[in-house]
Amino acid sequence: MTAPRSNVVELSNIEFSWKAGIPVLDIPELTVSKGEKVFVRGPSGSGKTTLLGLLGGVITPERGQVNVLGNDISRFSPVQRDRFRADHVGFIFQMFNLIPYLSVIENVTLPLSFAKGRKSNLASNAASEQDEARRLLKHLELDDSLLHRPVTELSIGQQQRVAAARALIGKPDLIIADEPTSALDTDTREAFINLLFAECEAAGNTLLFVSHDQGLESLFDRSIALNEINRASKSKTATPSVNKTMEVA
Amino acid sequence: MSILSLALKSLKNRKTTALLTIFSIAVSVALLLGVERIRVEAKNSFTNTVSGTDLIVGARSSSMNLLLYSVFHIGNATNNITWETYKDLTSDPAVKWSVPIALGDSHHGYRVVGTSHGMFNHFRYGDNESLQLSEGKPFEQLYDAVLGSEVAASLGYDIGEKIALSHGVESKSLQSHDDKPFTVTGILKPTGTPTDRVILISLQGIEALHIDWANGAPPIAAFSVSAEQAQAMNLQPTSITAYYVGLNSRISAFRYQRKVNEYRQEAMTAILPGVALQELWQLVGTAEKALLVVSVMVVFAGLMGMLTTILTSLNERRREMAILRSAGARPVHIFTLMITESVVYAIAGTLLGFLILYGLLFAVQPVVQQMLGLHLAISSPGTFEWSLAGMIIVCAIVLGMIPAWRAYKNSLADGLTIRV
Repeated sequence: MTAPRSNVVELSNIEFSWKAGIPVLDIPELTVSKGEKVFVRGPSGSGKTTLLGLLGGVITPERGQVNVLGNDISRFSPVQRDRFRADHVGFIFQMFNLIPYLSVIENVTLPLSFAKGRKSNLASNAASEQDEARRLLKHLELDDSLLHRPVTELSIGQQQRVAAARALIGKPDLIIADEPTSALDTDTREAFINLLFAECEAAGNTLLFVSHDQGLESLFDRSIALNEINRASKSKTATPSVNKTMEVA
Repeated sequence: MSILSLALKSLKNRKTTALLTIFSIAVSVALLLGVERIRVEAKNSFTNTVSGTDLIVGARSSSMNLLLYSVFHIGNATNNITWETYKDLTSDPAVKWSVPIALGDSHHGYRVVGTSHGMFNHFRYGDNESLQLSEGKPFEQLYDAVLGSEVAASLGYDIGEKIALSHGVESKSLQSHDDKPFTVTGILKPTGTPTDRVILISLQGIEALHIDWANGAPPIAAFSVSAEQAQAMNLQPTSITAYYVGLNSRISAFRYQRKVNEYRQEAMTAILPGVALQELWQLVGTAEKALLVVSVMVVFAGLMGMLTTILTSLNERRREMAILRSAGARPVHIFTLMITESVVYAIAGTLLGFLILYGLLFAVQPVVQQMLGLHLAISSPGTFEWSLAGMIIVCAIVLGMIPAWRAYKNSLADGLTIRV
């Protein structure tokens, strides 16, 4: 890319604390440009959840700006933030992040019933919800026979790919993945990430991938160590080897 | 996907508890509707114990007393009416028909009513229904008797049975009319009125029983008259206890009532049975209100059960809520989802309740008609039923706000983090 890349995420001088006086997050600056695939590494306690909460607009910082797609969402009303998140951010979580009583295809199309923006993205591509869900699932190597099965019958790896399809449907600008591979074994892990990358590249999504698994770091465009940029982090001294053992445990 | 179909699918996922909750609401709704239906029918049946009779005339007493002894056969008349007075008053051109009744005897605690064939021809109860015989025929001979359905059933009498009547109305009468036994010639169909508990004989029969009595005392052996001898004698009644009157036109009811009340030769009272029955229902109707209150409580308990179910499910559904939030649902969607769930419970429960009620009505109606003579009308839901259904749904929405509000607060607090 030669054109100057616009920033999808721009955090400046944000501070946040759950309890007054004990800051959890104190980040002078964090930027993610459009189309980037960023790995955010952080052990537990480094403020990952809080950071995602800020980016998702679930919480607002005490100080500083949270710019997402050029909007300072910390100044939005809660309803505006909810709408904004629904339209522009797709989430993938650790595990069990599907609705157990919906079929595979219903889980994938779920965000479209809440996010008008993502629904109209689909409409402008003249694709029906079902077709788009099918296409994404196919790209993520889930075949048609699974479509109307209850999600509880799927393997964890398959479930995570359904969750990825759900995050991707309707082309939200930003995909936030919070430890999506922690329940997967090493082989499926890389396969999952490659599929996710392929989809993000095809749709031009920006990907923010949060994990404590350093083995994945090399696959990404860029890596940010959260405990290094977060001045409030208590686990600055935590070494990678400790993280590894924690994960195995 | 709409919130409604999301709520339905979520409920389907919790089938067992959902169905049990719906069922408990349904049972309570069916109970309430059933109690109300029986209440209305019982009231109708009660206030129609006598229908088509414009006035009841007896010796002067309170209207309630006259109603009680002439219709319900409870208590005693203050006095008799002479046959002459009866003849005189019923010769009024306004009178279309009259049925005299003579009380005072009994059989195993069941009252004996001496009357005329007018009882079969003119007397009406319920929805303009006349007395029907399930077996046999009305009394013809002097010593014929027709039994009310309950009398026949509880004493196990059949056509042809010989029965001895007793003097007085105490259940253990010391003075028996066993010298003049009566033969059962007919048994009435159940009416659901006090008529089920009486024995009908002719006025002449009453006269024959007492022909050798003097001043209310049993005959001494020398003066006793045998059943056969009595048959040959003049059995013109000398007095009756009361009489039912049907008028040519209802408009003349008040005039005739005044005429009776102001009758010079004897002190008399005429009552409008419909009005008196309504007054009596006011007295005995308290129980039915208590019953209604109890069934309202049961519906409330059903709704409380629903509230408990939803509140209990909230914690295990926190993950579900967080996932919905991450898929773009706003807290208001979560609130709506929970309210929708309550409404689905209420609507499904109420519908099932109606189904249970109508199912039971169809099953039970013939039996109740047969056994109690109570006619349970099966009609489409009326204003009461609709407003009840509406009220249950409104209550469910109000109660559903509690878990909905908690889910709303939870989803605000939890945000997108999934807490289990």
